[in-house]
Order: sequence, then C-alpha cells, then structure tokens
Amino acid sequence: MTIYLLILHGLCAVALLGAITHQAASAWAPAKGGASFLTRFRAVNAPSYVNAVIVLFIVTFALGAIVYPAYRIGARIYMEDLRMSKPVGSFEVKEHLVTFGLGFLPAYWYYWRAPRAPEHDVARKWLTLILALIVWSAFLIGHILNNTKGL
Amino acid sequence: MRLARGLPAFSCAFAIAYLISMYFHPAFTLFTYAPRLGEWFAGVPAATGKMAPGMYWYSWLSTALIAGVAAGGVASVVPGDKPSRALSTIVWATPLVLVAILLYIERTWFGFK
Repeated sequence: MTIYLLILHGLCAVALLGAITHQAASAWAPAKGGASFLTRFRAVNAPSYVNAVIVLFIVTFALGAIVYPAYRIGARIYMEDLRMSKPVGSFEVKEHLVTFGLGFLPAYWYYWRAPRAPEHDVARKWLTLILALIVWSAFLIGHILNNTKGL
Repeated sequence: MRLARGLPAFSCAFAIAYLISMYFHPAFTLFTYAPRLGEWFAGVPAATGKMAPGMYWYSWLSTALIAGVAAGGVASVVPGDKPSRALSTIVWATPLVLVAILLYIERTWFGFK
C-alpha cells in the first residue's frame, strides 16, 4: 500500500509542478503576443490555477504525511547507518519547506481571489514564486531520495 | 468576508510557530508518534526500544496550526477593511526570511559548521 501511495504522491506532485510553474511564469512574465512555445507556456489565465494548486498541494502534502512513517523507519535509518547525512538533511529541509508552503496557502488564496487589488500585485507574484520554488525543491529532493533508497 | 482578512496573519503565524517549535524542540512539542508501534504519546517520552524513533513533525504542525488560528482569529476582528500594503509585504517577505533561517539551522547536515 505504501508504494501505491508513494506513486500517487509523486503523480500529484508532477501535476502540482506543472500548475504552479505555469502560474508563476504567467504572473512574472505575462505573454504579450507571439506564438512560440515559451509564449504559449506563459499565456495562461493565472488566477484560474489557484484552486487547482491549493487542492493539489494539500493532497500531495497529505499523501506525503501518510507515507512519512515508512520513510522514517526504513529509508532514513538505512541512510543514517551509512552516514549519508546530506540525503537525510535534504529530507529535513524538504519537510520544513513544504510545511511553510502549506502555511502560506491561505495567504496565497487571499491575494489571488477576486477582486485582485493592484497594490497586492507584488505579494501575489512573490507568494506564487515562493510556492513554485518550494514545490520544485521538494520534488527534486524527493525524487533523488527515492533513487537513493526507496520505500 | 471578515474571516478572510485573517488569512495573511494565519500564514505568517503558522510558519513562524512551526519554525520555533521545530528549533526549540521539545519545548513546544505536544505529542510524539512512534511509527514502529503505530501509536501516539503525549509529550516527548524517552524514545528507546520499540518507541524509537519518535516522530515530532505532526506535533510541530499542530502547534503551528494552533498559533495560526489564534493569530488569524485576532487579525480578523481587528477593525479595518482589508490588510494593509505593509502586511502584504510582510506576508511575502516572511517565508524568504524563514527559509534563510531554516537553511542556517540545517547547515550541519551538509558539512557546514
């Protein structure tokens, strides 16, 4: 069961990665015409991604929280025995980063909800970028750790 | 929606309280999860034998949630129409500062003294 949940955790993370990256690109560098791949990548309706990002973040986070004990008594102890402090420390950083991300979802929702005040444009852009960086970091760390020692 | 006005304050308080409870563990650790036993214990019992390893992350999350709800509740009853521009700056600056502090705290894993 843990393996299925871990795979689902990874799949949700991929979907979240796509959604938040599209939104961050659109918020920071909105498309102004053109038909290149990068232009179309940024030419999304950023506000329409908010609910999807929140739901995907919470689902991915919850699945991670469920499989966390299996990591703690399996992969982590294995890596500690081999004195692999960098992978263990990377997971520590990941768990704290995603918790920060979870905590900032309410503010993210608040600043993206309609009507979007122009004076909160900076907060919207930064919160989106920070969430995107958290999601990317967590994804890469999780992926590398799973390659180092799977559950 | 008055309640929504408290959300930025919730976010900041949640993240700050989380970092504090993690860094000052076990001062604010409310409970421990023992994954080998699949059982929860109040406080921080000695993690020996099958009790080890103890997991505290769920407790830090709970502490953060309590602090966030308290701060958000207070902010939602403060008079005013909407959060100020200053608060909106604090909201996006807070995670940047917290991440910097976090990386400093966790530096020893990566060989930095």
